[in-house]
Amino acid sequence: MNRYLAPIITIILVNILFYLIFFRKKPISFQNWMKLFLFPFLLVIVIPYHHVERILLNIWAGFLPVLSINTFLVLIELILLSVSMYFLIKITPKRGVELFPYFLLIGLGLGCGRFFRNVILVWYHPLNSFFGYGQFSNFITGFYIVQEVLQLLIVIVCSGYMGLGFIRFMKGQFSKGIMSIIFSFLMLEIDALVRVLFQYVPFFAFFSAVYVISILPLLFILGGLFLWMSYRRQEKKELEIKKENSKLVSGSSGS
Amino acid sequence: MVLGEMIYEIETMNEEMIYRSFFITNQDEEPQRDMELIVNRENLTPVLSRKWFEISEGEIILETRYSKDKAEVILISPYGKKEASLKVTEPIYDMEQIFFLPNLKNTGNFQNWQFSVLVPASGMTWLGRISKIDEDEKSVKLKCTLAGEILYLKYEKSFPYRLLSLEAPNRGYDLILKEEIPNK
Repeated sequence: MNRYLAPIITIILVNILFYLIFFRKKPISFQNWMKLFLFPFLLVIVIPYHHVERILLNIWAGFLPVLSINTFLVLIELILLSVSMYFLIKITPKRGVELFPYFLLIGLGLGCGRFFRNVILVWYHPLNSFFGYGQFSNFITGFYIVQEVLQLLIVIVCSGYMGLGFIRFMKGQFSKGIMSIIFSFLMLEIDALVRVLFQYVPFFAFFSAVYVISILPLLFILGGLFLWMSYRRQEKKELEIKKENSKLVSGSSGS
Repeated sequence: MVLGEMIYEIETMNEEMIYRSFFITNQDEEPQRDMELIVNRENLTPVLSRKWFEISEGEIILETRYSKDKAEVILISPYGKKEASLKVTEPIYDMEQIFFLPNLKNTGNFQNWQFSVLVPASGMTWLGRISKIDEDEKSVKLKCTLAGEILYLKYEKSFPYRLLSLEAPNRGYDLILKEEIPNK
């Protein structure tokens, strides 16, 4: 049991922080939290990613084929996010930007599922003390945990874009919705592209040295910042529409 | 740019063949141990493989002992010793063995072939594929894919079917038989 403690503690801490940041003012019931968190969390653990990846890597080799395999895995993750969001929309009466933190919560579930799966898979491999020095595997140690936590944050941002896309679709803003979904795809795809570049293109090998300390944080900060701006813009727009609607209602009732 | 030299030693015994490799980089003058591999002469299955890695904290030795249905992997690092038993299904080859397989396997007729390879460092088994892509009077060029990576291997067509060059485009280096390097 002890060996599962570190990833479980990390997941609990991330959940507490997430609650304090997004649900402190408008609390959510524990039951709803678990429902929304566990659905994507379990989905991502149940789907045998690494087996699919291994089967495909046994068939194809080289930069472009491996990038295509990674893109395929990114698309599967986006489908999982969409399924979870569809599940959320079905079970909640909330609509519009009110749903935004719930979409982020779905991203948290999926990101934590991915974190749990990767950490258990790599960390508890019987030869783990070798990881970090091998050309075949990821870093293990605190560095690996930081990498996985940053990837978790990127999944949350990606989920935010996807959620914003859904909100915009529901409001009939199709072109903006498509743009948000493209951004959602790009968040995961840029990460996948960088990893394939430093593994398969010698010219970009230096990326591996700066991946955790600069590329992932930069992707998260820029993606997060732009997501926040898009969310505020959407919130403002919905507020303006609400005001206009209420003016119209009061105008018509006055006449 | 020449990065260094690889030295391969091959010792033939009654039932086994022993391969040893060493490398010399431009900075280091003493050859450093790279790997040691013992294979069965008859069916080319691995018996033992050892790989040495230098890290700033010291040395890592990765040893794999093969038996009929399992591979025992022992890892000795400055952080301690770890052992793992991995289930394998025959026939399986060691990661270090794949460059020697095409020339040992046949008598100059380099055929398309696929085989299972154990990568002891990750404990994962991959499917390796070798296919002939080009040939001339003296040599044959093969494409080897393993775990998403591509290698191009060029062998002599006549005995002893030496490896003339190894191109690793995904790693950014080539290994060329010294006498084959053109004079500048």
